[in-house]
Amino acid sequence: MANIKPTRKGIIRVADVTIFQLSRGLYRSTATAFKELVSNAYDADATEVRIDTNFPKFNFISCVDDGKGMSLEAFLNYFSKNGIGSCTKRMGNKDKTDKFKRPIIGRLGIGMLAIGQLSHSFHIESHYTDEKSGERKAYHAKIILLDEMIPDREETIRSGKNKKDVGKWSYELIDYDETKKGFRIYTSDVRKTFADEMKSGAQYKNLDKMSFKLDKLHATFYDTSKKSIRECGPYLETIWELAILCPLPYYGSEEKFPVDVETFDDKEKGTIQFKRAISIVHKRQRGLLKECFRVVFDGIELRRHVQLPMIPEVLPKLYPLEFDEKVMEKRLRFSGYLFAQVAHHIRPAELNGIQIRLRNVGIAGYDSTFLKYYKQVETIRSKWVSGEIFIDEGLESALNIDRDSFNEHDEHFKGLQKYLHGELDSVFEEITKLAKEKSESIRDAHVEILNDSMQRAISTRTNGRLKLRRQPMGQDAPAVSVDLAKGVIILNTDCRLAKKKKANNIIQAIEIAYHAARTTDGSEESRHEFFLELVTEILDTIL
Amino acid sequence: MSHRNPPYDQYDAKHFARYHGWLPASKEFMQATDKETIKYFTLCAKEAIDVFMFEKEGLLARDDEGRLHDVVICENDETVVPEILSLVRPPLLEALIIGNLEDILTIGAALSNDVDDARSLEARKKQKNRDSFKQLEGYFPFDVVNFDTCGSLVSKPPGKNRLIKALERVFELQQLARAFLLLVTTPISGLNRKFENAFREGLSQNVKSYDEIGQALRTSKGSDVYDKIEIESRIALGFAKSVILPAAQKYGWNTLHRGIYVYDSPSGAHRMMSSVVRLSAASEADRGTHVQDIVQIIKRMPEYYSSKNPTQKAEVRKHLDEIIQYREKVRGMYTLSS
Repeated sequence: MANIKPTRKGIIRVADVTIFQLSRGLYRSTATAFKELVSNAYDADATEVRIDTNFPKFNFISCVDDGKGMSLEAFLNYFSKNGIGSCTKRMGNKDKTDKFKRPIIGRLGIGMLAIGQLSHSFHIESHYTDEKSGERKAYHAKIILLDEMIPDREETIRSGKNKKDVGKWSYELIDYDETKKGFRIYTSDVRKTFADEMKSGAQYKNLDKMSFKLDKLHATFYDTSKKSIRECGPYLETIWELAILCPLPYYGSEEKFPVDVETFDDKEKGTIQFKRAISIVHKRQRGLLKECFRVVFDGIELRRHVQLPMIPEVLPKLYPLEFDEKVMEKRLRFSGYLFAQVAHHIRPAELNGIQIRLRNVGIAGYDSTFLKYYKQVETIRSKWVSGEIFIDEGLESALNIDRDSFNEHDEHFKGLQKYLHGELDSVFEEITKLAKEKSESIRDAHVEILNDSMQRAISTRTNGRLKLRRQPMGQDAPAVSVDLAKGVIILNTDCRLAKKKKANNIIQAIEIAYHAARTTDGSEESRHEFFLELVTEILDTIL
Repeated sequence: MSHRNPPYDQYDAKHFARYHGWLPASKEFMQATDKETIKYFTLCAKEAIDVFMFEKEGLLARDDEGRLHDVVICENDETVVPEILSLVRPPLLEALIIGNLEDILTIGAALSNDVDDARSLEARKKQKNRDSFKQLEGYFPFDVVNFDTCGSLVSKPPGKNRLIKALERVFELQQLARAFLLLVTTPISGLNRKFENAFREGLSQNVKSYDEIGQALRTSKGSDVYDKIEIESRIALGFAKSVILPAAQKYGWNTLHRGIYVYDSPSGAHRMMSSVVRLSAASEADRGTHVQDIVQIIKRMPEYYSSKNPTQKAEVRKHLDEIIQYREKVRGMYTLSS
């Protein structure tokens, strides 16, 4: 401290070493690290990006795209002149890519180094056309990350030597190769942790059964016996997560994915809200298809695997989400949908919640807290809902550096949160009502079935001498009474023996069984036997 | 780091060896051993023509999931690895072995359990070679070994030639098999003097010891003197006699050359030679069969490819085009847009 000149004001700076550390340990999962490489290809107007991991050894990673490449000037700017994080993609308010007019994802320029999280060193190769001269050029570069520097970080910062080397790079000019047009990043210096992670899990042990056909993979993900994609093991989980995060169309046909229109009844399909929500989803799908962007992972062409509902026997509901307002003087515009299924959990569990998609890229997976919706915290009903919000304008300032989470104190985030929670209020109100109605109708159906079967049993046992009748007799009258003269057992429908309807139905039915058994002829044992028969019937039907 | 291999899709001369040598010999091997498909090791380059040729001709098979079975590919050039991986998609059942085959096979002899500091690039490289050797060792033995490296087997003196050592290691690792087919390719220009001396001496001894060899030389090559024989023929013979044969015998293999093919490198600067050798576990009864093998080489080999021969060129080109077409068809089968 003795060497620092005391001042009363100044500029806040970030040490180079900090930027580098951020770029190397920033990403939550393997898929989010790959997502960064895919995003760079998307921004480069690539039509295809291929990621390979040398399955099943996972000792090599390559990411090859056919985009416009990275010029040597940009490379030198990145690694030498201005440093990592000096992205120029959006310079001059440029917001769309040149060729396909895609919304530019890159903002800071740290995405390329996501591979640093998976490897110790890597190569890049770019075959591109120089924008100024129109000349075709190519270079190869090697980047070595100095791992031994990591434990020294704190010491470095404490010592004030901010400009500590954390890696080395070198490049050489090579011949342009048209077949390699674009940008490629590859490494065989893969971190052991990556290979070990990919190899773990049951799927790896059953490699001979593993299919690389997209339809079969989809069936694996949507196997009704699976609760979660995690059950597929880390390798398939990475594929699924990457697909969900990338700017890609949905898997399958428009009528089936992400929402299976056929599972909705005609009344629901005729509603304005359904039509609006479907139109939002389909418009997005068509837009993404037009972008001609493909991601191929270990030979599998990825698509977003969203299939709602997963099973047909649910009551599905679809709600549109639309917002276009100025928040803190800046426009916030988005659309999307909420899907609810009464009364089953969303499967796979990873689709439960809301996913925010900014510039067509998923910002993290599905947030099952619905941006911290406090009215439904881990309730059963909260597991019935899934949805996506596609941001068209705004919110970018809320995006954290990892592009995987939001600053919750950002005004746009607050605006989005408030709107979503308002919509969720109505959604949960409706699905709660629907669930209640559904549950009551199921209960009534059960009571009906029970009455019929008990009627049959009693009638058979008493040779038609006794019949069962339901009748309102006032709250003070007994729950069940027997009129032998008229040959009826009367169930007083006004009587409530338990607070819960289901419990009440069970108690009433047992009362009937008791009276029916009591009034039948025969020995004590045979009456007991009849009573047990009826109770078994009751429990089988109601429970 | 630029692409050093020639574009094999256009390299007709190379396909001459594949079409006339590798393919019929492999089919013959498969039939002789009564196998439905072969287990194949290759250093196939980014076009993987040999792999698709064998698949098209039914020597290799894909399962219902589209994965090619029993093919192990080794590639040294990391820039080419993504191309191969994309070409053979969906993934092979076996992962690619990435690294220099000489390094991998020779490090295998010095396997150690030492745990090196993973923070050092050199230590990681060493470990990678050890891992690759273990991986490769697990796949042996193969039915067909395609030892088609980028390097020359005859440009460095025998004692310092790591490729020869790697080839010997193949003979050693194949010992679990009863028989296999070896496809070995090398540039023959720039023959090392020590090799040349060994070839000369070896032939002279053979001529002295075996009348049938001298007789065959005089009849087929016009002379039994090494330096009077046409250059490709004497190298083909010397390579078989002084390189392949001793290495094979060291590990108990009996050799039978099915063909030797000579053609130009794409630039025309080098002569290339591809030998197709059937190896079988040697027994007492096999003693002296190497003489018959040498006599056969003298009488029938090598065969030459000339781009100036229109019939030969058209025949080879047609077959190569069919394979490329097949490869692209397979490639298209695994994309959604197809």
